[in-house]
Amino acid sequence: MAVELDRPGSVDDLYLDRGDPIEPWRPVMTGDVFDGPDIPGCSAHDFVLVLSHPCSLRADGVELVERLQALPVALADEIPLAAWKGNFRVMPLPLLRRDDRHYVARLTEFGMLDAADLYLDRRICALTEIGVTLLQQRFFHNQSRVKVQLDRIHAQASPVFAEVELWTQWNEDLAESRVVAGEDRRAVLTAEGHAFDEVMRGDFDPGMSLRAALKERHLQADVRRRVLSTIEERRAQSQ
Amino acid sequence: MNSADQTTILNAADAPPEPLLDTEATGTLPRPTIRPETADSRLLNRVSALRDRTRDLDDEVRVLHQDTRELELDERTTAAAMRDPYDLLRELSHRYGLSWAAIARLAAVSSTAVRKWRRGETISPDKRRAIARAVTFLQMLSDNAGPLEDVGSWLEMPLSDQATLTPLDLYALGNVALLLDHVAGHLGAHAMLDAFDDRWRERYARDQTFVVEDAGDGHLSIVERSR
Repeated sequence: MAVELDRPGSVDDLYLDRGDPIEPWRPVMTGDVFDGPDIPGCSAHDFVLVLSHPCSLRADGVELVERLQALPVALADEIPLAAWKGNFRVMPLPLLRRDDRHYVARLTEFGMLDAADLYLDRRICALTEIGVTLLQQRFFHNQSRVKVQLDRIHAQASPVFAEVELWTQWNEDLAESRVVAGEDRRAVLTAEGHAFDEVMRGDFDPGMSLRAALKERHLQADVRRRVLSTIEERRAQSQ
Repeated sequence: MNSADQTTILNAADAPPEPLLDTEATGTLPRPTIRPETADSRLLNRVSALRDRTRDLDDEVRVLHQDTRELELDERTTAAAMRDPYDLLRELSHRYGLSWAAIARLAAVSSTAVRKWRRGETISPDKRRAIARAVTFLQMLSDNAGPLEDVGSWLEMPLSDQATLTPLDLYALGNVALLLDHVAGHLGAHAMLDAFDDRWRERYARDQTFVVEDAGDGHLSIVERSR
């Protein structure tokens, strides 16, 4: 029986945001596409896609690790959704720029980039949870010829997906207003990142942090409620 | 039960047995062999017929009950749709603890749309109703929840070890009444999934090769299932 990899229901299911650039409040995440820098050793490409696994992006919960794995992204012919089952060597990125052009991330070439060279002002795309999961399924298969079902891949990364979403909301509600008021964006995002991290290290239950509780799927909703409540309290204090 | 009812049941459920052909007869027309009806067989026939009627009645009541629930959902949705849609979104995230991805699926929109709504973008009337319907559905789940402690968490949990389907999937595929019946304790998980799609085990089969486990380094890992 032929192996068939999965596909999104629609192009919109793939992208959380596309822009020139997208808003800076979401922390860098697997699947983000940046306009530069080039990946050394890879053949010609237009953009780069962050490949490092969601669990390997950060060492301390806030700052990116020094060097990240990345895939080259280049213009390509359209790969219709029905053809995603094959085309094992690429991750299709249809209509990446919201025009009529199609791109692919080449899974057969990857290299390392300095995290410091990834500028939020040059981030042009963020993938949805489904998009990241599809990317991982294709990369795992390309590397190992093992097809892992999407729900398993999603379940493994689910705590990080949940944390990044909460962190984004934290930034939108607490960092954005400071930046709009004139504070340095980089400094604000770093400070708020550490404040968020401190909350996530706090107790969910004695002996279990909020971050650890996110690993239990049935506790995620409760963690969300607590973090959103903290965001509201801090927002009220800052006004 | 009067005698007319008894007659009806006997006639409807068990017509007289077909005559058996006497295959050993030669040169003459086969003579039918009539099996005598005993008191036991009459009672058995009545019980069978009653069972069939009860089952039919049960099916009718269940359908009627589901229709009633959907009507209630529709009416309560109309009332909820009058609320501020941003307040409804807030209820989904802050009260029920739902992720943007889950809210997007409940409202049948992209995660991008939910993100933009959160940031103040205008919500169209049909999407406003979809959000109101999702809130109402969760309220009705909570009203009927019984042992279910956290409706928001439950929405994203698999309904069976054999399949990937979650309550959120069933909602997105239009099976609200089944979910409400299930949560109220009227329908078991497998019975609900059978009613949704009698080939659910095949179509939505869960990978039995790999499982997700704590790796001991603060993260989860995908590992081969132990035999």
